Amino acid sequence: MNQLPTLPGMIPAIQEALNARIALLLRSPLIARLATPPAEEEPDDDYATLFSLFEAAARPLRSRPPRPSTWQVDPSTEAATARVDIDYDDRWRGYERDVREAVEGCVESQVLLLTDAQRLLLERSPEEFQELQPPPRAVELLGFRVERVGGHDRVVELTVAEAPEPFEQIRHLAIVANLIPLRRQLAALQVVERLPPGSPLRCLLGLEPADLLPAAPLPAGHIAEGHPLPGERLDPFQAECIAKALRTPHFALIQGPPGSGKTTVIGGIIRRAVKAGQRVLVVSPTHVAVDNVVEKLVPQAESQAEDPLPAHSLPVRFSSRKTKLSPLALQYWVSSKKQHRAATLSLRLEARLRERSPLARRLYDQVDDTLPGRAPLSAALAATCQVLCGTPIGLLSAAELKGAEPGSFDLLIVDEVSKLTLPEFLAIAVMAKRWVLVGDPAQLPPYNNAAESGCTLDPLLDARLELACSLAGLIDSVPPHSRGRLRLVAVVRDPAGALPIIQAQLAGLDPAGAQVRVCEPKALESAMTSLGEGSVKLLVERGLSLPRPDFASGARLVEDRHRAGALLHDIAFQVFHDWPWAERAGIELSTRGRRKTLARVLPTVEALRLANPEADHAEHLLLSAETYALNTVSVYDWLAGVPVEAFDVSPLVELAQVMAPLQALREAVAPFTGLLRRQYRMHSSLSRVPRELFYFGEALQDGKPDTGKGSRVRLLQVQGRGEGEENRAEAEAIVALLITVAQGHSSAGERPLVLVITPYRAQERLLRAAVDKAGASLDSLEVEVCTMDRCQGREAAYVFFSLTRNRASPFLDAPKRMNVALTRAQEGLFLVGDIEAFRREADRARRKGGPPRMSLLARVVEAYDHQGGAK
Amino acid sequence: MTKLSREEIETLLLLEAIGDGCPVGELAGRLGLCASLSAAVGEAARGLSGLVEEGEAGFRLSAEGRLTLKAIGL
Repeated sequence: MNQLPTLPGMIPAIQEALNARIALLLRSPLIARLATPPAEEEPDDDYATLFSLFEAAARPLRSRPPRPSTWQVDPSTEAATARVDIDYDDRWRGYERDVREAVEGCVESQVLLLTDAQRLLLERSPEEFQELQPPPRAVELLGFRVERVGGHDRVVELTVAEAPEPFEQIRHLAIVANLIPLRRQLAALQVVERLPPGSPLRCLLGLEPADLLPAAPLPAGHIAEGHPLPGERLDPFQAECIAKALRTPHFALIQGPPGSGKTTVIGGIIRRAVKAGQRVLVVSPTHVAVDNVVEKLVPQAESQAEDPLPAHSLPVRFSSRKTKLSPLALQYWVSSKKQHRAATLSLRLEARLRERSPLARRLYDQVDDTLPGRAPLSAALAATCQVLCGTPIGLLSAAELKGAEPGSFDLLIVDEVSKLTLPEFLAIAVMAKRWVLVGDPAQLPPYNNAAESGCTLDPLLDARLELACSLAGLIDSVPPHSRGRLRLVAVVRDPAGALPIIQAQLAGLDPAGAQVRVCEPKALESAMTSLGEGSVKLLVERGLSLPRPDFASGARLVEDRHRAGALLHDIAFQVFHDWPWAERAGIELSTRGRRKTLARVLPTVEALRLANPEADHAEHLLLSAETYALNTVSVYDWLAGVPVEAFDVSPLVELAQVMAPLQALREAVAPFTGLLRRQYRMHSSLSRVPRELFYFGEALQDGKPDTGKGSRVRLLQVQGRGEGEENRAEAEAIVALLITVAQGHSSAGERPLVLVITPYRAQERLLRAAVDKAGASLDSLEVEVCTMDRCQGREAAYVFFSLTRNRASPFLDAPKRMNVALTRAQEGLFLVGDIEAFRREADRARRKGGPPRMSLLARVVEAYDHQGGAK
Repeated sequence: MTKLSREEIETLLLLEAIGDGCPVGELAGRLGLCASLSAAVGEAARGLSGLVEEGEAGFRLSAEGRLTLKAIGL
């Protein structure tokens, strides 16, 4: 099967998008292995039979003594560690980005371990590599460490989930997209296809009219919706949200700004649902959010009688491994691995049985945890648990869900839903009957790997167009005064057909002396000769197999392709996550980044038309937009609706049209949508600026009484020289400040949590190294370092924000990202960096008159200055 | 001292609780667990195929189950 059957009522664009996904899946070696089990070879004649006998007899003669394994296995976790050389002369050379970043992007994903022969095949013929039988071994990458040799990153120490025997030696690492989530999403879509008419999930996908959704809320029953349970304190908004979630016949949306009690509301919903005998799934794309829910549900000490959850309803925290779990959540952890399943429950059971039964005490004195076996009581306990928690994909690995029928659970609660796309949601949603989506659309959107999203567009986008975009992107990335040194060769199948597309893409660029040749593979040598001596960059059309150029030739293969798909991804991202904010706020941000993106995309769209003269342009665009909408827009935005009417820029209109049929669905869900307005996390001086900038005064009102006057925000000027995405002076200043505070705090006893946030991974590493170096000097504080994108769902007493660079970038101009960074602190926020540079930018913008155009960071600095007390 | 796996320990505890026959609802009580766990315990008992037989009156040990308990001196 390489296509889904035509589904009655399915939007053609969705059908096409699904088919594209299937095609992608079928190309993967993992799926190929599953789909086509190796056939047993049957000898077709007597000679062949004889030969196979000889071959079997000779096998021992060929075998070599096994070499020692390069893998070191940790017996407690089964994680295996090995060192891999990075061979710069081939596999990694073309990558423009840092090796460290490339590997880091794969943590928690599947990586392939290749023999030398397999690696060579991948280099020479990717198509044949895809067909390899048996396929290369795929393992889950848990972590890595890079070692520098001779001034370069040369060795990676990898840690993988389990020892990849029988491979004794590995030398190279190949990175592949993680196809497991994709496979599960596909399975879920097929389940939706089989659901009965009128099912809410079918309406969600637009397969059926939303008029079929019941409008009346469920009867109140005996669930104590509006009344607080013992030990529970709810504000009116929280109580209303709980009631809406419990009484929705299909979907409920709960929107809550930072610190507004989203987790409290989730806990309230779960407790009441469990009391009514319902089974509940709780998922979030982040481990932190899942753990927050678990911690909200369980008492600090199990002996506490106030626990309103019955014993069998205690949450079970599913995760493939425990390294990322909080200490309390770890007590409720159950691994998705068979041998570890119910291990935690076993310990809890043991504690209870030891208390009550002398026989149990005697038997447990003889326990050996290294012996295998699935404990029947613990397993049964896990199987009947009413509350299962985990990440959407992690939870689907649990045996309890793998074997369950769709709709086995009464309720699915999704936290941090702004980070979950519709396909990701569907993968787990099919297991439930009703759905409660909790999140904050003003926080971070779904994470998307542009390269992975791009590859789903491969079947849709012309390879020549992609090459043209790569070429334009490469020239655009070089300043005009340096372009004279650029010498580029584009290798294509059909130079005559590709030339107009490339010319259209380069039309808006000033080549400034850059030399570009377009040729077919056999003319490569003459094209290079025509460019003369020196370094040449080669760009090869997707699907063309070209031997890697000899190092001595001076040619470099550009592998980090600037995919056309990535550009469309940018568009979808901008449309759905930034623009409405700017529109509503009446603020015109620095338009440099957006204009640049549009300038790059509009030729792309034009080139689409050129590349496909016969194709229906609008339909093609619609298909692209649909694919991206599915892959980038959060399920919350899908259900709640994003105000897209204001767009007048083609091709964005098409996106709005895609969304339009969902209006009826949004109207059906509207009665079950709640907003949490009050925040209980931040000191009042910390919530003011985010309230005005990101919530327009409509939410994030202070729920706690103002405990102290004065501002708890400080803007600290550090005028260090930032290099790229690192700033050593800032890192040193922050750590010096922390050491001073730690010394003054030593006698207090408790260790307040300090979160150091930075936009960039490079600065994160620098900060972490500086904190590690400080060692015992920081013992009286609990210091954690993370990037802006990783800090969502977390909170800390004090937050230091290392700005790192002294000018804005499109990355930092994203309001959602900035909102997350500025709303983590409970008691104090310190912005550290070249503050004066942003003040100057704001002053310049004000002096020009009219609506001020400035970067978001300049606006933030200006707002804190205006609030007073920050200097 | 002979070492036992958790699987063996939990199985033995179940067998001991089942004894000569016991309604599912009482199993949890015998094991010192709260009553709400009875469903889980019943489920676990059903998994002990060969060692336990389920009749109208509840679970009872099979001949093999008795031998098992006897073998470890219970």
